[in-house]
Amino acid sequence: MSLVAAPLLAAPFPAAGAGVPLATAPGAVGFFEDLLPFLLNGFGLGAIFAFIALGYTMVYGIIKLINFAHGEFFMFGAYVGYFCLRDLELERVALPGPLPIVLDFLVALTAAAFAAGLLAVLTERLAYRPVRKAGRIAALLTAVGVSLLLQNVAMRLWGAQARAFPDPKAWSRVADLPEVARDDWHRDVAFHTDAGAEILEPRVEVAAGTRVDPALREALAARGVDHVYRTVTLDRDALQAFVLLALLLWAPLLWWLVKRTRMGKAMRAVSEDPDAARLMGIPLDRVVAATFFLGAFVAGVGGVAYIATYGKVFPLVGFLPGLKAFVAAVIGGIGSIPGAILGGLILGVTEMVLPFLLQRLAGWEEAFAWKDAIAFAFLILVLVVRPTGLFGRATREKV
Amino acid sequence: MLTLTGVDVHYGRVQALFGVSLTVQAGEIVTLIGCNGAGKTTLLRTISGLLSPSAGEVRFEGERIDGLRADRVVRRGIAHCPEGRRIFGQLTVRENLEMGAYVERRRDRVQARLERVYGLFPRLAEREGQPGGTLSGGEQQMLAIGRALMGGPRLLLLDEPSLGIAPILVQEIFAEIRRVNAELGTTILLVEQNAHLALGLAARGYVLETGRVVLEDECRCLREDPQVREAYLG
Repeated sequence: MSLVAAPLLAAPFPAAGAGVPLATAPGAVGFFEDLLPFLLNGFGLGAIFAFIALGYTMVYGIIKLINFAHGEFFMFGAYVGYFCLRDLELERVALPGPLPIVLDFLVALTAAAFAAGLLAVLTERLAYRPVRKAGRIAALLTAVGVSLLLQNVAMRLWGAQARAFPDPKAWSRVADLPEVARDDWHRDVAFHTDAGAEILEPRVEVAAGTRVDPALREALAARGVDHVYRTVTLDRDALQAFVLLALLLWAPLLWWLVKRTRMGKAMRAVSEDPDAARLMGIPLDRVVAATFFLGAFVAGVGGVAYIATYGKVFPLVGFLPGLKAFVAAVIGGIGSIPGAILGGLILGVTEMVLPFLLQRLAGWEEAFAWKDAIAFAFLILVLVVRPTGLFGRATREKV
Repeated sequence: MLTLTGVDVHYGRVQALFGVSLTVQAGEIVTLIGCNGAGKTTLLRTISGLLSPSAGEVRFEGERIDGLRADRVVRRGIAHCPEGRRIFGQLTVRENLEMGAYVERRRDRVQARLERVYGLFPRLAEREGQPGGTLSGGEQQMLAIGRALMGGPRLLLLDEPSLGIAPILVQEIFAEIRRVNAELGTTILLVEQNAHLALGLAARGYVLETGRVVLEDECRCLREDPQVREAYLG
């Protein structure tokens, strides 16, 4: 019997999409039915891009630095979230329904967000602040250097190999599992024997959120099973809805932070005129640090959402999403918070829906293999039409 | 209240100020006149901590403030209203004023100062919710001065408040500066290219030429000085 773990997690979406024979049902109803999942996945992916793009845009807005290490803050958050989900076992807390896994996920998100935020503050203090006065090229090169450094540190610490999310190495004794009636939310408890493995066999896979009721335990005991193989299974659709919801909650919160709070106003003042802001008594360094923290905090959330959706965490995981989020920030108009959110969503939907349309309507079978190229071509197109992005303002040089 | 002794300032290798000494007594209006590039703005930026002197010292109420970060100098009670107004164009008038009171955490004090500034410049109250960038030049200058006053400074540094402003408004603004000094008791150090206006407002003045103080006297004497008359009063 094969591993049945996390069917929804197993395949990253683009591959799944490419595998579907799309050209079979030409009717309009069939067309929209087929389009819908791509649209929803596009929004889910777009929300993650938006989360990362927010940090790019905020940091750029305040010190005009394109922080190339931002994708590494995202990566760091993803690792922290991964370790939390793997090791904390909060899904075993006795709570009804899907609550344990929601709790698990929330704790992982929070830890990832704070960890990424702190890494960003540390990076700013040690690497960016010393070169802030040395000009924008020096700062940009520093950012590239920090990005490579963090990637390599991650490789040393956690290995270059991709880790499947969730890590299937977490084992628990059946006897340790809480004795609660098995809930209906997760049904994918699977028994299986794994012939080649040297460790405790047969093993039982128990999805997170699953309670082992006494009847099941007896059945397991009858088969000589005393260990379970624990996985954190997240429903992909539920997860994407969750990420979108988080974005919908975060966006107004960030908006409020920047528009209404003392620190937010100080950020906007510094972004317009750092010298004048200093004359108001605004401590520049602290405002910059707060901006880095906030941007990376949000990226950490995006990091966990990304690996939970796409199933793998590795030291370079931040590179491509980071690059695309940067594209999203530029599409939206770099420096603009609503722009970053809209740009992220637009890019995510474009990346999913455009290849679908090209495959379906133009009969281009390989469209999904070209999705990254399509996304970047779209960026170029947007910039040709609107060089400052959708929400961007033409900046006037002060004299 | 403010004493500068032998202050040198460099921009890289270029020296901008040479041994400048200057004093401002509490409650005074003192003006600093001179041509473009004489070092007037540099001097103000040195006092407010945007630049640090390479020699000499700056004392405020007896304590050294040279080398202190700009945001710390503000906390000591010095507000610098910079040349070219430098208001935050995308923040509203009210937000600009709130930023001026950034160092004041007590809401009641901020509110009281806000009302005082609106009392001085009623136009700002009318335009409270408008982005600063949409105001006219004169209104922006009022906003810049109001913003500087929001920190509740004991010493106000004003850099070229008449620059690029309609003559009618200049009169109004100078009248308000006088009121700030008389009613709030704020000490003022005024940098101004328009020597007529400056010498009319201030009690004492310094003349700066190529980074050096060449004259200092009471304003009524400076107005009679033949050199000053020729060079600055035309």
